[in-house]
Amino acid sequence: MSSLPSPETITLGLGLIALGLAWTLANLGYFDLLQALCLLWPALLIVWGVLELRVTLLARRGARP
Amino acid sequence: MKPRKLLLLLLILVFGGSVEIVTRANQRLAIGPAGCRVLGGRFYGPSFAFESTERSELAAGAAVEIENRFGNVTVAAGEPGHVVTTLRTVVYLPTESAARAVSDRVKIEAHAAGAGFAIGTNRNQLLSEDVGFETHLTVHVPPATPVKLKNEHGKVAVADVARAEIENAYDAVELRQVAGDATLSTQHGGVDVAAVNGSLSLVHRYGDVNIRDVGGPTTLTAAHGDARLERVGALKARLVYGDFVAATVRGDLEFTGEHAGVDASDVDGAVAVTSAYRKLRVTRVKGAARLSGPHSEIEAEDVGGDLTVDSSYDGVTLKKVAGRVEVKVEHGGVDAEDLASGGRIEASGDDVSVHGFRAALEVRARGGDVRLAPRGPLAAPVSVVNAHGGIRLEVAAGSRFGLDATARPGEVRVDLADARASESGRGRFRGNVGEGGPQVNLSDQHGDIEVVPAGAAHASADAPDTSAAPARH
Repeated sequence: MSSLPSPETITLGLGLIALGLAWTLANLGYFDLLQALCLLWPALLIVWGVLELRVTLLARRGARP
Repeated sequence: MKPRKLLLLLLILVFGGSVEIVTRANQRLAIGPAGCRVLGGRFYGPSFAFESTERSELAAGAAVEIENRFGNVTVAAGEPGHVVTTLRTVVYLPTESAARAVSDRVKIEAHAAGAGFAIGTNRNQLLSEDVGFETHLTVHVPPATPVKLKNEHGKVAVADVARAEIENAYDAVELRQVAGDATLSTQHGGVDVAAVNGSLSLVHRYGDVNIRDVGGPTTLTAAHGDARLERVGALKARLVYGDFVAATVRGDLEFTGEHAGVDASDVDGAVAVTSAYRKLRVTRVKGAARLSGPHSEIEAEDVGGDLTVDSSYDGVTLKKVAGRVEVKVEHGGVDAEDLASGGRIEASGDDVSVHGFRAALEVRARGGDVRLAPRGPLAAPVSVVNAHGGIRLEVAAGSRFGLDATARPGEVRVDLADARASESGRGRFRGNVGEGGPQVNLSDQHGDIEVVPAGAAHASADAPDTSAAPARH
């Protein structure tokens, strides 16, 4: 049985990567970090929700993600 | 819901909420211009720097006037006939393109003004915009140019100018190599001045002051901070709180402080020091010295002129004074050595000790012992009045003097081989030691009097040998 990471683990990982990238680009002067985070942080909830939905649908079809 | 899911949800919501709150607070509170914070007069945050230079002709000897805010100003000698101004604009915005757009509108303003030349920027015209930016100016002026400079929130460094008139607030000032006079008015920052050929006047509020090599008279008015001056002309200084050090003053030194410590050495002229609560020390003064310090320990060494000391609640130490000494100390003692011209000492609450005096000496004391030992044979009158403490006079061999000593209640002990009493008792001696000489009057209430040869042991130490003493009156 394959053991894929759980949706929340993927969400946390993606969130950290996104935060690190945003911070680095902001330090390089591409945009204002605070404004960008304020605008985009709800995207983390969307990503997580999509992942949870995918896991549920796959489970109903009898496949374990 | 699993606990880890709940925890992650909570983490994301707290993170997002915090970002929202900080962003809105920044917008509503307007802590500083957009894209930066202002803390302690400085901008913080992402920034981009841009530089521009302008070159103008300047007549020889024409004065240059520079005005700036929020940025450093450096003035140095350049080529004759031209003034070269370099502006480095640092814009505090998150992106380089936005910062460049602001920087493009910040310009050097350099133009003739009267007989001189004015240099600044147009930053005041951009104040209405919500952007934080610094304007750092580097100005190269022709040699021997008088410079007048006004700045705020930035360091100032000026070197190789004919005259300097500097006004700065909220950062350090450095001034070097001024051919003529220099006037500085500074606040909140250190001040370092060196090599001013003319006079120097400095008014300063908060921060340390360091001044070296001033050819003319120097005036310092400072509030809080330490001040150190070396190799300056006649010096007049006022410091409220801090330590004041003056080394090598080519003229008089006049100092006034409130809670300031003083250490002055190698003064060619007279010294007048007034302060309180801190130690006052003068060394190697060619002229007269006047030291006044309530609650101050006072120390004076190698004074060429008269010395006047007024103190309380601490001790006075004197060493090698050529002139007459006038000391008044309440609740403190006096320890003096080598007083060439004698003087008058008034003390209470502690001992008075004078070794090596060579002229008339008068001592009024209370609540402490008085110990006197003249240098060589006694040659001048001595008068001591004490209460609640003993008197001990040590005389060198060959001394001749008239002695009138009274101790009530107390004992008078004269242990000199050639002492001749015309009147004596337990607390009284009147007579002569040798023939002729000056008059010595010793009067004590509630204390004993001893007149002994120089180097004799104290009465308490030779108590077992009193029966063998050569003479006891």
